[in-house]
Amino acid sequence: MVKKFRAISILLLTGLTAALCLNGCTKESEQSYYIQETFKPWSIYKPGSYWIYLNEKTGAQDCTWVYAISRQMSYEGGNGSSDPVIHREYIMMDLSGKLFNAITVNGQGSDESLMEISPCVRYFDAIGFSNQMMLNPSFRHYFEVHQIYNLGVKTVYPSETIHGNTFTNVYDLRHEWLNYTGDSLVTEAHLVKNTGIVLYRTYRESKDTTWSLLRWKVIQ
Amino acid sequence: MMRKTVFLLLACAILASLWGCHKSSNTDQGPRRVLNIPDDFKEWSLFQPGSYWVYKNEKTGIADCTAYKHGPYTWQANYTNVPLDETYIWFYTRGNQVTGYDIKGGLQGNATLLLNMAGFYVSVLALNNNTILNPGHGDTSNSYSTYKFIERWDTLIINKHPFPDVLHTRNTWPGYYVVFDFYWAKGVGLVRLQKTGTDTDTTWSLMRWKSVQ
Repeated sequence: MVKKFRAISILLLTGLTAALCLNGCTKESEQSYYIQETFKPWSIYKPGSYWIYLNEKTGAQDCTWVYAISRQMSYEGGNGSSDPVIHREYIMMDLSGKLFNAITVNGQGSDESLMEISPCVRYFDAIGFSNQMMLNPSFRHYFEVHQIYNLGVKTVYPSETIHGNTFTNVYDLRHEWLNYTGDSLVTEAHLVKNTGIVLYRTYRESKDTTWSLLRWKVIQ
Repeated sequence: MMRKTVFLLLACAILASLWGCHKSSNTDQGPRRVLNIPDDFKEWSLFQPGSYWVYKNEKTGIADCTAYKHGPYTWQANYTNVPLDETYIWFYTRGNQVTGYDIKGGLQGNATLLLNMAGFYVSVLALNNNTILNPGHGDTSNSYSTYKFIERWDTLIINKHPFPDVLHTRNTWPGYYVVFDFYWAKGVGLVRLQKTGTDTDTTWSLMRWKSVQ
């Protein structure tokens, strides 16, 4: 009887040990992060969309247009790693023109999506925007070793008139930073829902260029 | 007997569950080390706004000015994964030779000065405190470059100006086919810079300067 009880105890405790071990390192269930529907009017533009910008100094015009769009779900974690499995929605738009060459949007979490607009000029960083920046605009100052930069939504203009067109709720996306040689660089992009970038300014050590929206067509 | 077995197995179960998600602790990594920049090293390497150095090309005679751009910036890196605090000070300069000075505290009283050389997108070790304290003992190398002490003069005359206590260091970059020779004077800064490439050899020597410290 005693032997039987001991055997059952050992069996139960071995099971308990294994359960506790496994429970301690349990994997989270799979997650799928989609781009929020409320963020899409800010970030998704289908082929056929175009924006014609005017260089305010030279008077030159440039047309940026969307010629391709693709969607995919990325897959992270799993495959034996301890990281949880995450499926992430990506929407990529290829652009043509002298100002921007791509827009990428992806789901980051249940309430966060990221948007990146890549400029054609190599030494300017991508313009970043997110669902949380849209909901809670903020401008942050960063100071780290060899890295000094300010990033975020500098201002939300209730309205802005450009070439006779009045836009409301304009987000001034600003990135100010120092490069390797200590030069100051600035990008300023004014983003409007259902329209796109209405003003794009770049500054690099005394070279200041502003492109402002003249005409546009947006397909979402 | 049975109680003892149950107790032992329960203890094993708890230990095993804790071990299952064991994280390495930092408690066995020794006391926290703080890598400061010695004051004496700052006199060789750290300058304030308003500083400038005008160099003469010894071959062509043309002048070039390295002027303070902005800074200095200080950053204390307090690592959480290792018991280590590192101090960094850096500033930017405008000119065709050097575009930035980057000073960092090192182990056991050492400190390093890296220069951002114009047109050379890698920081170059130009001086360390071990070289000042004990010439020859600061020599170091990695897979890309070799830094070493060359000579120390009691006095070195450059453009008719006698500079006391001048240190000559060299950094060689075989993969880039370039050798940098630096001549340092305490309280003044870089008094001579020599760049030797495969078919170039340019020496810039100090003519006029204002070193604010």
